[in-house]
Order: sequence, then structure tokens, then C-alpha cells
Amino acid sequence: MTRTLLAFAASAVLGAAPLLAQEIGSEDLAAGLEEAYGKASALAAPWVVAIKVDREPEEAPRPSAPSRPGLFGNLPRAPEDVFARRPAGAWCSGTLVEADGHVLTTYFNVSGKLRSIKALLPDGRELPAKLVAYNGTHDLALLKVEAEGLPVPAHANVRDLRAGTPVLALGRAPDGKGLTANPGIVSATSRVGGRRVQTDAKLNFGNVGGPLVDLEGRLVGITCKVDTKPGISSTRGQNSGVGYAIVCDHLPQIVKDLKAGKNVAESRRPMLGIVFDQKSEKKGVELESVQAGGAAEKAGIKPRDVVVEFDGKPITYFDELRAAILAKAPGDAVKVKVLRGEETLEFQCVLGWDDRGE
Amino acid sequence: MTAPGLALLAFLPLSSLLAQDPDKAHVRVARKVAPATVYVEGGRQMGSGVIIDKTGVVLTSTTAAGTTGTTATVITQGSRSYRGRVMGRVTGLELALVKIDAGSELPFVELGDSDRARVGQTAYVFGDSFGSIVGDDQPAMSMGAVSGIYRVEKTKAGSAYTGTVIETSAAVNPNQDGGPLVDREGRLIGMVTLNYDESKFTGLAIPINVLKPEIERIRKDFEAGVVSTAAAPRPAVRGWIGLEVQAVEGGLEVTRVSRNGPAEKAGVRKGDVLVKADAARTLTRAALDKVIGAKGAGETVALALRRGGEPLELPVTLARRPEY
Amino acid sequence: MRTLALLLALGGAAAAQERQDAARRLQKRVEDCSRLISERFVFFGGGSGVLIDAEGHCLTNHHVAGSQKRTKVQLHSGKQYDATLVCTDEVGDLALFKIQSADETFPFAELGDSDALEVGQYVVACGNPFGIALPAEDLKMYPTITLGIVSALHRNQQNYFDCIQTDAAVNPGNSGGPLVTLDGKVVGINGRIATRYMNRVNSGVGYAIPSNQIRNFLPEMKKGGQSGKIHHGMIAGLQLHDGNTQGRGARVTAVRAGSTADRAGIRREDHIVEVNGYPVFNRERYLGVIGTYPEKTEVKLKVRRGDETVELKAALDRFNTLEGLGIQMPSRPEPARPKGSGYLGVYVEEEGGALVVKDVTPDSPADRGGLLPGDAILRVDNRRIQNRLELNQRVWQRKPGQAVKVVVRRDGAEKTLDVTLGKHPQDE
Repeated sequence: MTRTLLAFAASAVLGAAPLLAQEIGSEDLAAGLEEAYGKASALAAPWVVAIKVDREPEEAPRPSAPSRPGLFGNLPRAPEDVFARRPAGAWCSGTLVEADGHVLTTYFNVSGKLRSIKALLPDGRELPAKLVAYNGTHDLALLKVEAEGLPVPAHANVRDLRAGTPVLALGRAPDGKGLTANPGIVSATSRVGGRRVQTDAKLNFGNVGGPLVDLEGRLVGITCKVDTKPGISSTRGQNSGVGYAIVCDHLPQIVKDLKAGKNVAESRRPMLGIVFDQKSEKKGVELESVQAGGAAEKAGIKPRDVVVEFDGKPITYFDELRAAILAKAPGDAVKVKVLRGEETLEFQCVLGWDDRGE
Repeated sequence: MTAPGLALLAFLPLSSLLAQDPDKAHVRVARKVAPATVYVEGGRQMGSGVIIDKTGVVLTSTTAAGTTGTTATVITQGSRSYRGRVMGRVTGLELALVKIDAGSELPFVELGDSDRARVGQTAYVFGDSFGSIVGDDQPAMSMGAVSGIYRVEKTKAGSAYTGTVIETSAAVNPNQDGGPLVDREGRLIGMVTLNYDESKFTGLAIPINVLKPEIERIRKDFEAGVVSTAAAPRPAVRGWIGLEVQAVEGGLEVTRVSRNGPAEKAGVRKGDVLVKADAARTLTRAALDKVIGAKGAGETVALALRRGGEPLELPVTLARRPEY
Repeated sequence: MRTLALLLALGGAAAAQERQDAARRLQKRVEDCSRLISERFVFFGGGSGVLIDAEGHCLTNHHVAGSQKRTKVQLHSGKQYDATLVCTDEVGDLALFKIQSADETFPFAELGDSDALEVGQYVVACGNPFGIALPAEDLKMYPTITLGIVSALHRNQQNYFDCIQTDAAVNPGNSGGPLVTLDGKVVGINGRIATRYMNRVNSGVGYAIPSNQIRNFLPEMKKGGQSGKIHHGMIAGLQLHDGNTQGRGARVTAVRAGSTADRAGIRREDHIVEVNGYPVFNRERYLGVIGTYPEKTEVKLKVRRGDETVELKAALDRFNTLEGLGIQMPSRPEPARPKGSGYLGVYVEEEGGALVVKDVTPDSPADRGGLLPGDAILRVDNRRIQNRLELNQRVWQRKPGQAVKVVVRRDGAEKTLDVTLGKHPQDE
């Protein structure tokens, strides 16, 4: 009797198993992800702080495009605040990086004409915060609150990161209290000369300055670079799925430099002011046009010139030229050689600023 | 060892042996929820909705079904278009229920418990994404997490709801308002709203627990033949003032004050003439009821009275109607 | 009992382990897939692409590079190459390039089966949004990897006839890049997005051209198409109801006389319910399926006509925008036949400037009157007949029972036949 029952039970289980396995497999994954996110959030929450900045009113946002007809009636007008710099008086995010109350957040969060900054710690204390220094290139700013013995993050092992590694972007809710968590993956492990890791976790005004963590709750980087400048069409903006975080390995040096009180202005890329002809077959970079008032035009470079040397480096295709330009700084004087017809000409260019935003 | 015990033992390693690749782990929820997701159009609005009962009760938003009118168009799976009857609305909650009669049982989603929602929890949004249901019979699905739970105090993008919201990182796009936010079991934890917090621009949903009492009420009223559009939810426990009045010149004369009732405790006396309740003139009993009826136990109503010709103002804190 | 309790406890711990393992398995799969597809990725100026064979053929969108005969591309290795255009599909937004190299073989991605996709299934998008990729410290070029799910299938977005909708983040710069399932197979080419705030920044809706459409075009494209171009197909002369049909199919509202639709046997009020085995429930889906084939493809249709299901065939004409996207009515819609009109019973085709009888319905007035296949109808009641429209007009102006004189050319000579018109079968 028992044996029959056993056999029956076993066969019933075996028969149901494939169906159950898929059901269980899918339940497992959703549940597994939830548990992992919950665990990571809980581990990191103690060092995610809320920051409120009081500043002089900023310029009004750019008016939205007029509503236009789409396939399903009029498309919704883009709301004005899509192009806004940032909402006044909203809580944003920061990350505790030292037990003595040093907090990192984004330069974007604390730029403008500041009146005061305050921080809301996870333990409930609301404390005034002082801006120590900022670095516009990294889009980071160091704040200081008067406290001690605060919890600080463990760093993730950057070498273990791969494209596809799950990560979580944490921040504080608009009320300053609740935690916000946006899951995503590492989109690329090394951008901007290895300074930044790229993620598709949703980054927005509310959570930049907070930490990007791995599933073990360790700090991968500080999220940054979400902005829309009025008058210029946004290249990223909020929640685009293309987001950056300054890699944790670089933070100690950055914090050290910021503690020294040295402010670094928002970076601009150097610009030559040319448009290259993609269809050209010539060796070098044939120019379709030169920007009016740009470095190339001012130096005497003309459309249809073929750039063959930049700053002593031979140039055969555009990427070489671009990399060579980016290796310089705005204001640098550079020798540029071009081929014009049969002649080789040399020009001295003073590189300008690329103010189109990154 | 008992037979069931051995069976259980056999069961455990089998499930890991047969564990599937995770590629289609979320398809299960799609199969449950997509068939119940609908397109809704009414009163020059359009958006999404979800069937919450097999008889064809559709939960949707007033920003999808409109705030006026007795009907709304609902398109279900298979491109079936129905002229649904509006069962009721609460505009302040963006809530509308629409009844469709399909002639057969419809797929539906179960209501979940939004109080148990946790940040980091898997969440999915379904709805008509840029015409996906109307044109292509596809309730589009997006996946993310519950990324935050907080309050919004401002209304944006044509929304009417303020209060606690569930924020999700799952993509929310135009026309998905009224559509479902579900958990990993495919249970409804929120209804997508057009509102957004300007510091975040992510998708928001009204927690289902906020809507549940009104969903119940609207369904009951509808069965009794009553269809209404309320501005705000009826309070959970209705307020009681403890007064009897009769209409006189210029107001309502208090004919009786319930002993130990709210009015008596506030100092109202027999013979007082009620002129205003909360700045609304009370020339009829119905007018007074309208003001009281919108309030819950514990809320205050400011009464303006005349006593012996002199004006008098008394705030009355409403109580729970006593059960006899 | 105690055993059971122990087993349950073990079960609980095992279940937690299962869940953790499931999450880890997903991580490994996504990481492996990301590495695989990155190695097969192609950087185009302003966009993305993917290698599809060892010889160096790669796909991208037409709008990324299709108007260039030659362009420069860069691979994950960091190396730059010249690539020449093999063939481009302007309407379908697909371009095939070949990387020029002496004898190098390239890692390539396989095409997956886009019809096997399910809503909710994980997909990975690989691209270069906002052009942010630059050579890394190891001098390699790393594309951007984003993870999402299939949001919807068979979306008809005009010339993205049968596209896959995904919430994996796709932005300007992702165009031409692959959408892959976690096994690394290409199920789509990303090329379009719809955005919530119309600011060209992803809001969770990306559209990809499905691999099964690409498969229909690839053989011809590899041969170079017609002077480097390949054309989509459509059934000319068909007008479909633009609206809800309760899922009954794509309802035919007009058929242009003499057109491919007409010759295929499609009639007004037919509901097209299937094309090449794909169920069709409305006009968009019909346009979507047809849009996945090049011109000249033979397609099999199923139409509902009353209670019957009729099987028809057609060879696709060359796509033109107005008809192919269902924007414009065919220029000369067939006028409706008045009820109670006369009826002849022939099937005719315009051939070499003449109206030639192709078929005579058995026992019809034409049959009894002596009309034969091959006859060229010249005159009816002394009026010249130059096309089908004119023949219809003549016949429909008469009533059943009225006699008409039909002059035909047969075997080089003219012959006059007396035909008594009958009642149209649709009027019985």
C-alpha cells in the first residue's frame, strides 16, 4: 500500500515537475530579484542622505513646443518642467563618504546662487550642511555636516563589474525620508577615461548624487550628470537610460582634492569648429564646412581643406582628429596642417569652447 | 519516512534540475495581465484600464474615461470594441468604473494589497502604449520596480490626484493612465496616473488600497441602480452632528439637540437658527446634509448661528453615528 | 511529523537558495550575452550596426548610413575599416554593408526567430546612444548595453510594419544596432523610438525591425538588389477599412478594377483573415504582414466571404508609399454594382490594350451566348469597350432578360454574338 502510494506520489511529482519547474523558475527569479534589491537597499540605506538646497530663484524654463497633431489626436504638449533646471525646494540625494560627516553629492544639486543647504540623515537628524568645494568636470560636490561615527559604504570591486551586472541607483524620496531604488545594469564598465561607469538604471534630479550599488549593497559609484540646459535640446535629461556614476575607485582622490577647498569649474570640451565630410574618400579629414567665428575659420582654414596633421600627429580619419582635439584644452594653441588642392598649408589655431553640453 | 515526505524530498532537487533559463521569467505575468488590460475612451479622453471582475467590471481613470457622460468605449483583447456603461466616478481619485457586457466571462486581475508594497519590489505596467491596443491589439508591458513610495501634493499633466503614490521605474507613457500596476503575481497594486513629481519624471500609480473602498461602494451603488460622479471619496465613517431642524425664515431652527451629541457638546441649543455650515448657506435640510455628508467622524464643521438675534459661531466636531 | 517539519525547513532554505540562484543565473546570462554581442557590434558614424557573417556583412538602418556608398566603421577591437554599401531598403529602413578587408574573418551574430518572442521576454539592446563610446584604456570600443523586456509584438508603425516594442533603453545613436535575446541571437534591429515628452530621450518605447522580416530581404540584398536597392511589396488596388472590425479581419472596402488585388480575386466586403499563415485581425496587421516581404513575393491569403473561407494567392507589386501605407485610396475605385443589374458571366483581363476573356462561368449568359476564353471584347451594343470599367457600365445599365450584341475578335476575325443577360448571382 505504502509502496503504491509512494510510486503514485513520485509519478505525480515527476509529471507535474516540468510545469512546476517553469512556474517555480519564474517565481524564483522575480522573488530572487526582489530579495536581492531589498537586501542591497537595506545595506546601503544608512549612508544615503537627503539634501535640500535653498537658492536664489533661477531663470525660467524654456517654453515647451506647441502641441502638434499626431496619429492619435494631438500629442501631449511637452510639459515646461521637462526643460527646467531643477525644481525649487525639492529634496535631492547625497552619499555619506566619511564617518565625520563628509557627504558627496552632485555639483548640479548645489550649483547656482546658494543661500543654505541642509541634510536629512537616515537616523532622522536634520543638520545644516556646508559646501566644501565642487568639481564641475566630475559633477561632484563635497558637503560637510557636523556629526561623527556615521556609517560609510564599502566599495565594490570594480574589476568584477561587467556589462550586464545588475546594479541599483538609490536616493531619497521627494519628502526626504523614504528610500528610492531604481534597478538596472552596468551598460559599460569604463567611460570618460575610466572615471565613470555607465548604467541604464533610471537617473533623475531626485536621485543623482546618491549611490549606485551592486547586489551586495556595495558602492559602485556616485550617480551624476543628469541635466537639461534651457535653450539647448537635451541630450540626456532625466530617466533616459543612459546614466553615469563616478567610479568608487576614484572617489578617495576626488574627496581629498575637494577637501583642499579647490573648486573646478564645469568642464567644457575644446572645439576646433569644423564639420567633416563623411562621404569623402580622401586620406585625412576633408572639411565640409568651418564654423563661422570658430577656431579653424579664424585661423584661415577653409571648407574642402583636408586636415592631415593636428598638433604634430598625422591624421588619416576623423576619429584620430577627434581624439587629438579632445586631448587638448580650450584655449590651447595648436598647429594644424591641411591639404588644399596640391598645396600643404599650416595654420595656428586657438581652440575654442564646446558649449553644446556633453 | 512517510510517503508525502519522500515525495517532497524527490520534489526539491527536481525543481533545480529542471530550472529553466530566466529568459522568459516574466512571461507568466504577461499571460495573466495582458488579456485583462483594455483601452478606454470617453468624453474626449483616452487611456487604459483593466478588467477586475469576470463579469466585465473595468477599473480605469477619469483621465481615460472622462469626467462626464454615461458611456465609455472599451476595447479588449481581440480588438473587441464595447460601449461600456459608466458605473460611477470619484474624480478626486481619478477613479472610474465602467461595465461592459461581453456575453461571456472575461479575463481579469485580482486586487492586491498596496499597503504591503515595498521599495525594490518587482512591478509591471500594462496599457495602451502609443496606440498599441487600438491599432495592434497589444497591451504593451514594461518592467521595473517599485522605486519609491511617497506623497505628491501637486497635480500635473491633467491629473487630479494628490496623496500617497507608488513610484515605478517601469516605463509609463501617454495613454497608459488608468492602466494597471501589478506585482510579481500579477495582482493589482496601483492604477497608473498622469501625475508625476517634477524632480523625478517617473511613472506614478495611485495605490489600490486608496481606491478599494470606493470601488466597493460604486459597485454596490450600481447594483442598486445608482450611478454617481463624486468629487471626493465618501469618508469611511460618516460624520454625525446630532441635530434636528426645521426650515424657518433665513435658516434652519434647531428643534432638538441629541443628548451628548456633537452639537450639544459644541454648545448648540434648541431654538438656535442655523444660518451657515462651513460658509454654505443652510436654508434647507438638504443643504445642511450636503455639507455634513461629505465629512467623516472627527472632522469639524463651522456653524454660523443666530441666538436671540445675535450672531454666533460654533465649531462642531462630528462623531460616529451612535448605534442603538 | 518531525521528518516533515525538517523537510519543510530544508525546503524553505532550499527555496531561498533557488531564488538567489535564479537571480545569479540571470546575471550570468546577461553578462555573457553582453560580451558576446559587443564583440559583434559595429560602430557607424552617428549610429550602430551588427556583423551577420564571417565575411564582414553587417546590418544597420538605412537612415544611419544607407545613402552612403562607402563609409568608415569601427569594431569592438578598435580597428577601423572601410565598408561598402551592398544594398539598402529605404522603406524598411534597413541597409546591408560589407566590411572591406583582405582575408580577415569576423565574429558574427546569428539571426534569431522573432516569431518565437513572447511579451515579457528579456532582451538586450546594444548600441552607441549619444555617440558616447570612445576608445577605452585597452583601446577597444565598448558599445552601450541596456536590458529590458519585449513590451509588445507585431506593432505597425507605418514603415516599421511589424516591429518589436521594447522597454530596454534605446536612444538616438542606438539606431541600426541589434536587439538580442539572452542567447545572443539578433531578433531585431533598433531604429525608432517614441518619447513621452517628445524630447528624443528614451521613455521606455523602442521599436525594432524584426529578424524574420530581415530574413525575407537578406538573400536578395546580399546579391545587391536592383542597383543597390531593394523594394518592399504590396498588393496594389486594395482599400481597407481604417477602424475597428471587432477582430474579424481587414475589411476590404474597395478593389481597383484590373489591379493585382482584383486579379487575385479579392472582393469588396471580404475580410482578409490570414496572410502566409499569420492571422490578420485588422488593417494595421494586414499592412504589417505584407510589409515584411519584398516585391514579387508570392503570398497566400485567406479571406472570409460571408460564411466561406476562400484561399487566394497574389504576387506582390512594388511598394509605393501612398498605397503601401494605406494612406490613399486606389485612384479608381471600382464603382458599386447596382442591385438588380444585368449579368454576363465572364472574367476579363486587360492585355495588350484589349479586354481579353480569361474565363467564362459555366451556364452563365456568356456561356450560353457563345463567348469563349481568348476572345477580345471589342464592342457591346455598338459602343467600344476599352477596359473592364466600360464593360461593367454597359452590362450594369441593362436588366436581366435584356439582349445585348457583343462583338469579339476571335482568331484574327470579328464575330458578333447575341447574349441574353441574366440575373447577378449576388442578387439571387
